[in-house]
Amino acid sequence: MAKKKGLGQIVTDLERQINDDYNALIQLTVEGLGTEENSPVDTGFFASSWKASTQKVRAQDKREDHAPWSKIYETRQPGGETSWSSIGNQWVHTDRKPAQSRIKPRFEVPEFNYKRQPTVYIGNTAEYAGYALESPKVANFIQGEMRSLVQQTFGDKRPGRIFARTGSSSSVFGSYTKL
Amino acid sequence: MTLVNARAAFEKAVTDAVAAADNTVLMVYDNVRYTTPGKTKKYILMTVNFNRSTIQNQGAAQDYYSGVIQCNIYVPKSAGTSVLSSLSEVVIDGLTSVNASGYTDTFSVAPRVSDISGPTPLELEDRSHFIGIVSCQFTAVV
Repeated sequence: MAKKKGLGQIVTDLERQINDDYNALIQLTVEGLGTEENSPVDTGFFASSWKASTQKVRAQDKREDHAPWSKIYETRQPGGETSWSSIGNQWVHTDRKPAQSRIKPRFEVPEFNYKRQPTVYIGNTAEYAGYALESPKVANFIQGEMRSLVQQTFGDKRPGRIFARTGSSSSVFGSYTKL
Repeated sequence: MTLVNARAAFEKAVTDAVAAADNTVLMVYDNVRYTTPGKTKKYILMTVNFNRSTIQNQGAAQDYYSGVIQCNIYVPKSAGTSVLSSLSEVVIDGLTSVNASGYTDTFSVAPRVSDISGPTPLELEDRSHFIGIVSCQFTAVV
């Protein structure tokens, strides 16, 4: 004989399900941003520096302070620079590209509770994040793929608010896109 | 040629709006070679990325394009924010012009844009220009 569920149990199950979806979406967003498809990659430091937090994320981490990216950067020929070019929609290196790049997420995505933490910010901690945002890759992911995913996942029953940064790098005042 | 038309509809809308407001502004599109203009010049890099090309209804697939448009607006540095603001407004007006009821659909692609993000200002140390980023999702149906 099937067990009966009380109303309280149904609500608990529903809340757990929503919370699981909420966390899965945040995890998916951070993972998605940290790929070569959705972040411009040179050494891989930027793509490795996406972070989810209940506080707005500050872009203040210097690449030269963090291994292995500090070492990877040294493999470039000196005196060059990296700049975004609309030609072919890609980063253009006037010097030789590093011998390798490495994408290794620097921040574990914590577990959030949609009731206690209804707002989550996803941003990049790399000091030079502003340069990377000139590339349309990030906006393309956040406004394209992610927005569709949120709509498919939650529809009208959004449990909380997730913001992903598409704005200024140097302060907490940059604009976040509400997903 | 519908993919070409979809791109053209948005590029023309923004270009026309910019040209009407300030014909000294240089427009740069995807895969076009250009020399970075001098630090006193204003220019806009417009990129159109497609995320989807069809929807599969019952029967034949229908051309349904969607994606993201990003306009990077470059204005002279250390000259205040008014130029960036006014130029951003022109770009936004150009993008939203396709939604207007009186829009003439020259390319027959029923272009639409949704919520526009920005203009997000970026002041980067070693860039000769002050930058504003405007982006939005778009759709086009044939």
